[in-house]
Amino acid sequence: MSDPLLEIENLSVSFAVGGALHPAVKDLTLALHPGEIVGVVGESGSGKSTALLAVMSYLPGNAVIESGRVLYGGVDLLRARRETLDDIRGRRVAMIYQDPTTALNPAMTVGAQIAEVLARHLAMTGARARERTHELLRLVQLDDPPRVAAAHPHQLSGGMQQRVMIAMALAGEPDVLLMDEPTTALDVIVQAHVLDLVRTLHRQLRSAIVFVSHNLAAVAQLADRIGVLYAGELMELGPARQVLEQPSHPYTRGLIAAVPRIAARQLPQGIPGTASRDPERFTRCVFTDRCAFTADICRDVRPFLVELPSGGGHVSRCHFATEPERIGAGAPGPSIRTASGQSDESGPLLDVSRLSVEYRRGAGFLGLGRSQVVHAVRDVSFRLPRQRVLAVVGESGSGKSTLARALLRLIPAVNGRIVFDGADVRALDSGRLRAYRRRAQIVFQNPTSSLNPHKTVADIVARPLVLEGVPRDDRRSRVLATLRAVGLTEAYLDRRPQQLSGGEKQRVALARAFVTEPLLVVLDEPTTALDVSVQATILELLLEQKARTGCAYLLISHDLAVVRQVADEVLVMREGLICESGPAERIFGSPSHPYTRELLAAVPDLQPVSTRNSV
Amino acid sequence: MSDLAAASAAPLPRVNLYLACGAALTALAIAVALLGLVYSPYAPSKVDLLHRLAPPSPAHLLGTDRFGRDVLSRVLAGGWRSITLGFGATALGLAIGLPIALLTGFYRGRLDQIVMRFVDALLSIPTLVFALLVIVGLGPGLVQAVLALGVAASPKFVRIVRSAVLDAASHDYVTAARARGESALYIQYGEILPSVWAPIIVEGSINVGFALVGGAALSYLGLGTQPPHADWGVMINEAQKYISVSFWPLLGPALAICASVIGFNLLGEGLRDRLHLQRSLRDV
Repeated sequence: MSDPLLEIENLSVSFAVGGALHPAVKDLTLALHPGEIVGVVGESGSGKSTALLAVMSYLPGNAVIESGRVLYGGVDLLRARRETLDDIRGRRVAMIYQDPTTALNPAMTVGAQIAEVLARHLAMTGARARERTHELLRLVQLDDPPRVAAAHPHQLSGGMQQRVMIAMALAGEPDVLLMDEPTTALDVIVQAHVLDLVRTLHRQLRSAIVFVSHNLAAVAQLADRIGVLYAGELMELGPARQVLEQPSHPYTRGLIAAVPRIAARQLPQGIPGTASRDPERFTRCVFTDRCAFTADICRDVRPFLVELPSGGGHVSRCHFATEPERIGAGAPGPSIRTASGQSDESGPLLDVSRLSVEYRRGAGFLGLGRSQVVHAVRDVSFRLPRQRVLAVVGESGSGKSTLARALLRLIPAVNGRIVFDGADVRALDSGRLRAYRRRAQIVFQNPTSSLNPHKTVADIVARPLVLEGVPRDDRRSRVLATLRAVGLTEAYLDRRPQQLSGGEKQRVALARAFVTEPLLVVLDEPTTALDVSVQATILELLLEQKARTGCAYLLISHDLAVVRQVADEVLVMREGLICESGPAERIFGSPSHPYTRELLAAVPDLQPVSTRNSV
Repeated sequence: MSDLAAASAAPLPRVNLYLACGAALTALAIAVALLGLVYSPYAPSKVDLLHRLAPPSPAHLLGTDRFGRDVLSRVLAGGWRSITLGFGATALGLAIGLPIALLTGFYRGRLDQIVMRFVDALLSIPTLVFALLVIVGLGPGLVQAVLALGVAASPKFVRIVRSAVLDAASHDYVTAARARGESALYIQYGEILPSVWAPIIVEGSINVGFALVGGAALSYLGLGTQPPHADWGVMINEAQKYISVSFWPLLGPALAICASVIGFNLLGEGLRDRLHLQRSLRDV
């Protein structure tokens, strides 16, 4: 193998907060060879962004580099002079960020922003720079480069913006591209296109890429080698195929089991617990608390990276890496469960016919200005039987969230009928509306936003009962019972949301929705904001709650793999219209609408790139 | 920045110089005002024509004014009026501004647009001039000065609190509250208000200092506290006519006003840093 292009050696970074050091990355060693793609997978708090920022010397002021080197062309980037760094960053090593809407300057045309890089690093100006800018935009497969170059970022879609970011990173003709969650902010179809683009560009330009993501499936699409970060440590590193097909570390194995698969209706398995943030965690195995195979040695001794007999530089930080049978390798996968019960009561719970929702945009002062009517939902009809799960899928802007909000009468519908349990929802007076809202609850995507940070868990979960007029004594027991049902204990009653992890917050949000035992729960992307390992446990919990309370779900999601696991019926929406609807088995098995087929094809699967190429 | 989340578990930095100095000065000002209610070395209105405009001495620690009245006694006795002006005007400003801010920020729409253009118009009038306009209607006096400064401060509170309300109202917990059938009043006061305390406390403490100066200015102009009663503004008004003879009568009340205004402002700044820090740590 040729000499590495970029070497991270023993990198340890901590953040100084309130006089204490909180380690974020510990002893990270990773080499990037010319022309290869290394995928780095990690959940929030795993240190993956910190490691990338360290390579770019972009760490915030309170970061302390405790040890290590980052070598590029014989220069240690961590200790390089500012001028040296300036010649390397953006020129030889370029970075692409997660959210193009904040990474692009809203006040400049994208052409000017690309030209800036050309002028700075290649001293290219005037007509030549303009020509090169158009070339770069064509390279990232944007149509009509002159028009795109003249546009401001807000005039472009998210996918186009991310392509512009990539063009900008390529402007300096770098050898190394660092990509920090480049597809996370994008819809599934756009994500598939951007992944395709990265693959094509890599084939053309052969620059080496570090692709960082929490999405194992996205990484599997690209990477030659995969590294798994957990709580600041590299747990496993090896050729993509080996890591995905013969994962050695229990965490890697858990992570793979937690990814929902579109190919089969099989519930993903979560990893219980959350990552340790204890500053002293590196004296033992950092995964001890959540590992199913913990032995005494794991609590006492920090494991080394052990080279595995399978070769290819496959290493694993586990005491039992060379004894795979000790850590459950080859054990049967999660059993297949039927995710739904049959509905036996007659009459649908929710019967929606010809529902339309519009809103006005840009109405100006007092609504006197010229406004544009946006048809967010057009002529949508469907039925949701009792105790079933109906999934509404589509990209952002498809109208799926608007539909959900209109069903709960959070926004008015302009046309159509919503019949819930025999009553016309649009005609309810305020008293009946309140009763309806107790039986139809909603769970939001982001629990940090949906829980008031100033209230305790007890207050949050008890509030729907207060509204219902349940006496104080009964309230406490019902709150406790519901908390237990979602896997929380009495100890959580007095905590506030900021003291909880993302998964715990979503459990509290679920408890709030279920405490009044509703007939319908609208789930608006309930797992999107969560880490993969937590996502799976929440999905499982949702199915448990359905079985326990016998409610029906309206699941809004753009994640088809998640929908595949839980939905009985599927509604595919695009631009406010229903493209296709029907039983989940049929939609996933033999989709008839081209858009549905496109959506399904865009879902990344865990198949590694090497096998993909050989097919 | 997911990895920074690890930092949020850390304790907050304990030393905050602004907060400490601000709290100390504020406590001192309030202590002076409270002490003045129960104790002063001399009766504040006791005239001693033999010792007029005297420099500080063991008998009169801050000297005497043009009638030979003890400046220290008058600073102590006048303190509560000045502090009351500061707090009273701020409380009134909030009492007017807060409900309007919650209402317009929660409902948005036309109501919001109309009210806010009106507020913008009021904001374009300097606070003191606005207060003078109100005084013209009400006549001079301490209570009238509190009313005038309170009304004059309210548009500012509407502006500041409304922007915090808009931010809070965009969170899903407000939508969640609507979805479970909460009343508009509960959402405004039960869900949104707790989230906007931070800017209220910060702006409030800064405004106390500001109203104190405004009150002193009104008193100085003869529109606030009426002689022979003392407050710090009145004392400055009286003392400045004799500044060419002796500046000692000016020094006491001027220091008192400076210390309390700086105190309240530092307190506000300190609280802002601390509350903002808490928030930013929470959000990572």
